[in-house]
Amino acid sequence: MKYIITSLFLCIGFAMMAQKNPSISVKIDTTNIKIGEQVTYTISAPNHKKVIFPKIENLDSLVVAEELPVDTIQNQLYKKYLITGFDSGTFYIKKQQVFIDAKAYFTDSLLVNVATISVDTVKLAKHYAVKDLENEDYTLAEWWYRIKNYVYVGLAVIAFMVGLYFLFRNKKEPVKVKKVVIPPYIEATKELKNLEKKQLWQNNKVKEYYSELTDIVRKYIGNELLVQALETTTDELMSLLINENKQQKLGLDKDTLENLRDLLSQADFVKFAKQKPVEMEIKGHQSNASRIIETIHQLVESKKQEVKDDEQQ
Amino acid sequence: MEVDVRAISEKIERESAFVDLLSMEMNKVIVGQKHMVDRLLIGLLGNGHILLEGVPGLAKTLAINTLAKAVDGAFSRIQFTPDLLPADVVGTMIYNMKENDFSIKKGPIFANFVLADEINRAPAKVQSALLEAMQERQITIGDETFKLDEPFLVMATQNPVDQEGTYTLPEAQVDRFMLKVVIDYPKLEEEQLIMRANLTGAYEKVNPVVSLEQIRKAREVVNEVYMDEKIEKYILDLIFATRYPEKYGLENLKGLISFGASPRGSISLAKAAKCHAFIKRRGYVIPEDVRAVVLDILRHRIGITYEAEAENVTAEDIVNQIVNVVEVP
Repeated sequence: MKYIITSLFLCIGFAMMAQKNPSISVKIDTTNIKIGEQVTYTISAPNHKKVIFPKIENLDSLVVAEELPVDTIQNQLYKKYLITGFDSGTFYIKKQQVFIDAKAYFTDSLLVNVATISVDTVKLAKHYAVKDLENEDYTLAEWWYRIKNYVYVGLAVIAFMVGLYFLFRNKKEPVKVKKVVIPPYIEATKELKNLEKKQLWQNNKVKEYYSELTDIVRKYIGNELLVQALETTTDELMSLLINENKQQKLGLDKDTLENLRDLLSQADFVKFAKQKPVEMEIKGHQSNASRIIETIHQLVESKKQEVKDDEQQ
Repeated sequence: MEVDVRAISEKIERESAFVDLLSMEMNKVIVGQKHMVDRLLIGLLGNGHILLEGVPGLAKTLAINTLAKAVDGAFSRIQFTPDLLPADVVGTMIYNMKENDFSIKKGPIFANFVLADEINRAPAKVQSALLEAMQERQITIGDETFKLDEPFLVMATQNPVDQEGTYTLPEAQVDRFMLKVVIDYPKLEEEQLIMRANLTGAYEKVNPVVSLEQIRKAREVVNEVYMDEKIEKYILDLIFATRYPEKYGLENLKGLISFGASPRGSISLAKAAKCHAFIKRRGYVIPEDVRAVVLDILRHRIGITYEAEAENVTAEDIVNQIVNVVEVP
């Protein structure tokens, strides 16, 4: 009985110990590859709750070209790696560690033979000499890049030459347009005649008539005696004329000065106070203006003659 | 509308009789300074204010005081100082304990003739309080607005020397003065008379010879004085020459003028020319009238550049050049 109980315990113990480990297997398409050829290395494990496949790195002269996602086929997990080699020889894929439910299991190791490719140089195609570099045409931008410095220098030289030309060219004398200087007396006489021809006062334009008449007289005085007559008022012009008469010893008599004052004052009335003189007054002022111009002209001429005579003596 | 210049002239003959009386009354006290007295009359008739510039002791205060007495108007004087306040000029509201209420205390500006002595000594806020009253001719104290009595003439003075601690009047505010008159020293003979009169105390008493009503009437007649289109054109030429001197053959002035006269300048020039014609008993304006007042009207309305200052060119020089170049109609 004692023997039976002991045998029973032993059987149960062995049975428990002999519980089966999860089956981890590795597979490779072929163990002989040529240099650069890819081979699929597959690790399979049962589909448990948590399986961690290795990240293969330590392959010596072999390299993992690509790591494919895990595939499941009938409660079995498959992890594939594309492996290749670029050196000839026999290389060893070491045992890889797979974790199943936090417990480590190891795969078998494998040998892979990487064969070199034999090259028969005798049978190679005909050799050709190395071709020369082909010269391509320049683009516009390349042309510009190559010649721009020359262009800049050229333009600078041209600008310099043009500058020198303008600096040292023989300046042509501007053509002098002869300005015909009409003596003030002739100009005033002509203007008086033109004014009469306009027949302004006859056409009820008395104000315009007096404006033009006094402008002619003032302009004449200004040009003949070289004083600012157009820019002065009646009083200022009279004072100016009295002064000039004294300084230049023109010999303008009181009557002429009075006539001038009367003419300018009456003209001021017409121009600024809407006064309308009668025909007789207008004619009187018109002849007054002519007489004043005539008198001043004669005095200036005789003065000039005196100076000339003095110079001759 | 047809203007009867002869009728206007006759009216002026009637209404301007007081001018001689007023001048005579003022001459009782003011010796010389005819230019200043004339300009005071122009300001009085033209309803404009006057800025007087001159060294102390040239009878500026005495002139306006005498004018006020001769016109029978209310006169007040404000001495501008750095600590003056706007309320000191226009007035303020004071608490009346007896009536338990605020009452208005009018300032010295409520007069017919106001002398703003040394206007550039007071800060800008006081200056603008006065200048605003000058422009608007009314004062607001609290909620109440008071119209100032007519005539209302402000004569402000400023000293050309001793500029330290002064507040220069801004261009926009100077423009509100119709005339800026620069007073010079009296002539030797005039000063001799002043000296004698002061030593003997022989000044005559000034009597009121003109009523405020007469002034108001005269102002209406001044507005009727005929101004021909040619004169208007002449005035505008003078004003425009300050703005665009190059168009009048005055290229040399272009760099010297920073700004020309404003439209207020042309209005004042036209008005002052009319007043001058009135004083001369004429019912129409002639170029002489414009020429007589142009310097006093434009000298404070032209801004000069730094270049002009460096070359010692004054606004007066510029006006004189313009007047000598612009053709008289």
